[in-house]
Amino acid sequence: MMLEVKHLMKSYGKRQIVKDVSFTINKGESFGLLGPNGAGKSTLISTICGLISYDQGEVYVNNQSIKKFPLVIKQKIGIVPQEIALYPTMSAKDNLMFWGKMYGLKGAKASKRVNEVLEFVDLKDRAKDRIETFSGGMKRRINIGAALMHEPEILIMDEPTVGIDPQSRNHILETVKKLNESGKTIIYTSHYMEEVEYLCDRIGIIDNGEVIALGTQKELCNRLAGGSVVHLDVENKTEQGIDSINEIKNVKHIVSKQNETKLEIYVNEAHETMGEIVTTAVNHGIKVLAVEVQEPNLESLFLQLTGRTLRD
Amino acid sequence: MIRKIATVAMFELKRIFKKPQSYIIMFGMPLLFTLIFGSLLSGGEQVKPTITIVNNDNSTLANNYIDEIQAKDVMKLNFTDEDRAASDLSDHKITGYILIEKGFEKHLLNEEKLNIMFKHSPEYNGAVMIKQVLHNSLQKIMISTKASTVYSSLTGDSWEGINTKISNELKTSSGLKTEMITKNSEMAGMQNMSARSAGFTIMFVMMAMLSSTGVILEAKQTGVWYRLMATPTSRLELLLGYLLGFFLIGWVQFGILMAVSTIIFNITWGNIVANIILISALLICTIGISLFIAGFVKTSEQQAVFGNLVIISTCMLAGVYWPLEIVPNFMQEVARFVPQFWALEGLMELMVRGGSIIDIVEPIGILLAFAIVFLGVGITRVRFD
Repeated sequence: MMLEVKHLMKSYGKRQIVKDVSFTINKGESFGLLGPNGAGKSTLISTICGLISYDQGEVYVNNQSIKKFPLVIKQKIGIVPQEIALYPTMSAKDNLMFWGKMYGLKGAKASKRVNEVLEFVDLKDRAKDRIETFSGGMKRRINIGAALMHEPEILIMDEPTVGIDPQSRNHILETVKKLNESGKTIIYTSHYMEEVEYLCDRIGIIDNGEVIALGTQKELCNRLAGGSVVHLDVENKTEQGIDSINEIKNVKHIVSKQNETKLEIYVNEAHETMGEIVTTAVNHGIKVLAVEVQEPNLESLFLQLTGRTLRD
Repeated sequence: MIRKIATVAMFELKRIFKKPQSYIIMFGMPLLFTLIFGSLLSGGEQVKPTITIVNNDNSTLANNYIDEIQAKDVMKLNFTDEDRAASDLSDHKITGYILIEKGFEKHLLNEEKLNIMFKHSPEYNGAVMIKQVLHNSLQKIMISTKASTVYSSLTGDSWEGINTKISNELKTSSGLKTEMITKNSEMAGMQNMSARSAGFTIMFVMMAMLSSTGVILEAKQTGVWYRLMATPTSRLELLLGYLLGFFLIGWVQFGILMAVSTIIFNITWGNIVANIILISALLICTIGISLFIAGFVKTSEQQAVFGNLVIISTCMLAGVYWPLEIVPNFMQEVARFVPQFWALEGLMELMVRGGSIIDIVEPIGILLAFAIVFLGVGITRVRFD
């Protein structure tokens, strides 16, 4: 077992940020922590890395307690913070060299590693340029590179794609995939469901400091009752019509926002029930303009568990 | 441990000199300020007041008196009658006039009360100095006159001849040199350029230190601190690394400014070893003050605004911009409570009076005491989480 988190608790004053969190991560596994902003992901990550002390519980890396061996464990972890934690007026090479040295690299080995990392993040041609001249995506790539300098056993990435364009985002996702395929253990936090779905073998869904669901993507989706979502584009939406749809067998929940022409209907067996839903709507004077079925995913699971969407 | 400390220190040193604006703040500004304030307060050639002498007595002693005044070389003298002098004064052509009334010599020989009048425009603020010169010169003439009359009564020689001999004797060098050893004379003796150079070097080193220590706050804002804390580096290593970095930055700046000011302004800094110890104490104290300020603000911007305000005002108080002798006495006393005063005091001792380490024990001790207080509080205020 690479990482073990046992009944971890952390409070700031009276506010409990991490509530009795427990999970394990195996060597070479890619583990996703999915949750909305403010769910406690970053605090949990900081606690695991030994950056924040915790009130109760324990964190073990390779069976060593972070409390007892903080420096030994820090050497095994590479962290990619949410912010671009680099020196903007220094070159990419200078930055990587500095972070390498902070992890104990020196001399020719450090220089060699700088070149390898620059090649890996595909920025070798910009090695001597100042970070402040880089695009958002490039900065993010160097931000990841800095965490790879000392070849850590565990790579912890805290929302590494925040605020970048889709192309750069894809590049980063591919980089993370490649790292995991090469055997590195990855902990990836995000509030983007699709990223976690794409990258991670196992996922922990976190909300209000609690892990509310844990398992593989398939295991989590199987937990969904009313897992599919039928999206209806409608006109002349009526309360009576919505109530009637809600009474149909297999319909679990309806989201209807005021002044919107859309209905989100959470159902089991979506394809079998769809016809009845449309007929009921039409019979109550609701004009159906379009129908779309969304298969069960983590978003719907989160919604079912918390009553909110991940981006709320 | 040493390797990590050195890595942080050297990286900070490299980082500061990668920024072009660092060169302007660290070297350009202090040299420019030294040049401007040094030249302003040195004032080039001194402007002497133009004073007219109205000599209504025109006697030997009156002429001797005028010679004596002239010998002081503090005013430009010309001669005319009273009406013309009064008219010139009202037309602001002259600063004032000295009236030697008829009977000056007679009154002097009879040891009677003398009337010498100095008339000047109300806005002239050097009148006290002129009156002092007139008084001192008169005292001298009175003494020589008394001496010559006494000698004349004993020997029967003419008093005028004896008086002329005494006057000539006084004019030729007596071989006796006097020097006032007071605080004021020390300040006056020190070239103003040296004082300004030392002062502005102190001020801009403090500003550079402030900006350097701001990197801790900046690191917290950008997430670099978070990443640093995630490395296998102890808090002590990190703190010592930063402190060493700030100290080296301060020394590079001070060293270069000392060298350049020596070449450009011909300034002598004095005993090297004593300078190294004094400046090191000042730098530690400055780092302490900057960390202290950093401990009470949240962003590097707040630290820069608040810190610069503190530095500039305390530098004014300490006599960095102008000699302390021109400010009221209570302000001179208040100045003793700011570190810059002691740094300047120490540097003056070395630069002007050629002092050694023994002579600057007090300034060094006080600077280190300031350092202990500020550094102590500053370090405890650095939040690592």
